[in-house]
Amino acid sequence: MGQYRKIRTRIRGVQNTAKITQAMKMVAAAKLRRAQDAIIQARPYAGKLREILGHLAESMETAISPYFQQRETHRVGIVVVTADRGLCGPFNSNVLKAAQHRVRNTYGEVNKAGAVELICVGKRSVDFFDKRGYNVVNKYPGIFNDLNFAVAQKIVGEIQDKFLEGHYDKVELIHNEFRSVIRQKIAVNQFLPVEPIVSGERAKTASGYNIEYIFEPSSVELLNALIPKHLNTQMWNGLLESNAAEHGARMTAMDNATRNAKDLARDLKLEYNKARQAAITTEILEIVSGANALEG
Amino acid sequence: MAKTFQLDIRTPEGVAWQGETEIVTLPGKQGTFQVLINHAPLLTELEIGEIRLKDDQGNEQIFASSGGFAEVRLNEVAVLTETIERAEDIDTARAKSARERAEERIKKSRTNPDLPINRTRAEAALARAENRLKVMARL
Repeated sequence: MGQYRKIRTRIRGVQNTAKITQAMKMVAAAKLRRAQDAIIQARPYAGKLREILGHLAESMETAISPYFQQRETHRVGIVVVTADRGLCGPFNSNVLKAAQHRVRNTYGEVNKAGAVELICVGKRSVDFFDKRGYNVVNKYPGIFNDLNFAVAQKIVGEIQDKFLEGHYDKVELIHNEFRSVIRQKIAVNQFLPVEPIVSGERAKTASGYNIEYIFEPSSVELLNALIPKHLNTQMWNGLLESNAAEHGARMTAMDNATRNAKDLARDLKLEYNKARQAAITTEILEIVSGANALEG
Repeated sequence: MAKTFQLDIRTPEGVAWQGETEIVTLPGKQGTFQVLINHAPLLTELEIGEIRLKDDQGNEQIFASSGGFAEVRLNEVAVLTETIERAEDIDTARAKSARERAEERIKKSRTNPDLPINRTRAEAALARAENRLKVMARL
C-alpha cells in the first residue's frame, strides 16, 4: 500500500524537475538568439577595422609599433573567460581545464617563478582560480547579465597598459567559441603582442587601379591608434562568442535533462502501475479467501 | 537633387547609421572636415566630437561620437567609432554625472599623484562627457 504512494510522490517530483529544465531550455534558446544577433551586429565594424589594418600593414613595416614587439617570456597574463552560472554541461569545466593545462604545462617554467597572472572573466572562472590559490590579478564576475562593449574596453585597458609598460611579455585569451548549438570549441589565442597582420586584398577602383589613400595623421600614428581598437574588438568578440556558446551549451544540457526526467518518469509510472496492480491483486485475494473461509 | 554617397557609421554593437548621404562633417584629428561626393580616398583618425550629416532627403542628423576612424573610398564612406549617440538620445543626467566623476578623478590624481588613477583615461572620459553635453545643447 505505502510502496506505491511513495512512487507517486517521486513521479511528481521528477515531473516538476522536467518542467523547470524545460523552462530553462526555453530561456536559454531565447538568450542564444539574442547572443547570436549581437555577434552578427559586431561584424560590420570588426570586418572594416581588419580591412583598414590590412591596408596599413601593407604600406609599412608593422614591427615598429610597440604592440607587435616580441619579447622573451618572463611574465604572462592569461585571460580566462567562463560563464557566470553553471547548469550548462561541461562548458565551464572545459575552459577551466584548458586554462589549467596552459598554466602548468605550456608556461610551467614561468609559473614556477610565480609569473603567470590570471585575469578571470565570469564568476565561475573567478571562483575556481581563487579557491585554488592561483595568482588572480583581475576579476570580472557577473558581466554576462548585461554584456556591453564597455566591459571589453575596461578589460583590455588594463592589460594593454601592463603590456606597454613591459609588465607582461605575452597575453593570451582562452574562451569558448560558438560552433553550433550543440558544439563549442575552446579557443586559445595570443592577444599581445599582436600577431603580424596579413595585408588584405588591395582596394581597387572600378577600372582596376589600386586606391592610394591619403593617411591622416601618418600611417604609423594611425596604426598605433588602430591597434587598441582592434584589441577591444577582439576581446568583445571573445566575450560574445563565449556568451553564445554558453547559451547553446545550456540549451543542450537542459534538453538532455528534460529528456532524462521524462524517461525516468515513464519508468516510474510503469513501476507505479505494477505496484498498484499487485496491491489490488492482494486485496482481492484477501477478500476471496475471506469469503471462501466463510462458506467453508 | 543633390548627389549623394553611401555612408555607414559602424560600432561594435551594430550599425548606427547607414544610407545615402549628401554631406557629412567629421571631427578629424587634424581638424573638422567635410566629405561630399567624389572625395579623395582617405584614411583618418577621428577625435571625440560631433558628427553631423545630411541625408538624401535633406534631413540633418547630429551625433556625439567617442572618436575612431573614417575611411573614404570611391563614394563609400565608413565611420568606425566605439560609441555614438544621436543628439536626441543623449542621457543628460548620465553625462553630467560622468563629467563629475571624471573631474573628481583628475582632481584626486593631481593632489595625490601616487593614486592608481590613469590620468589619460580620466581626461578622455571627461572629454567624452563634455562632448555629449555640447552636442545635446546644439539641438
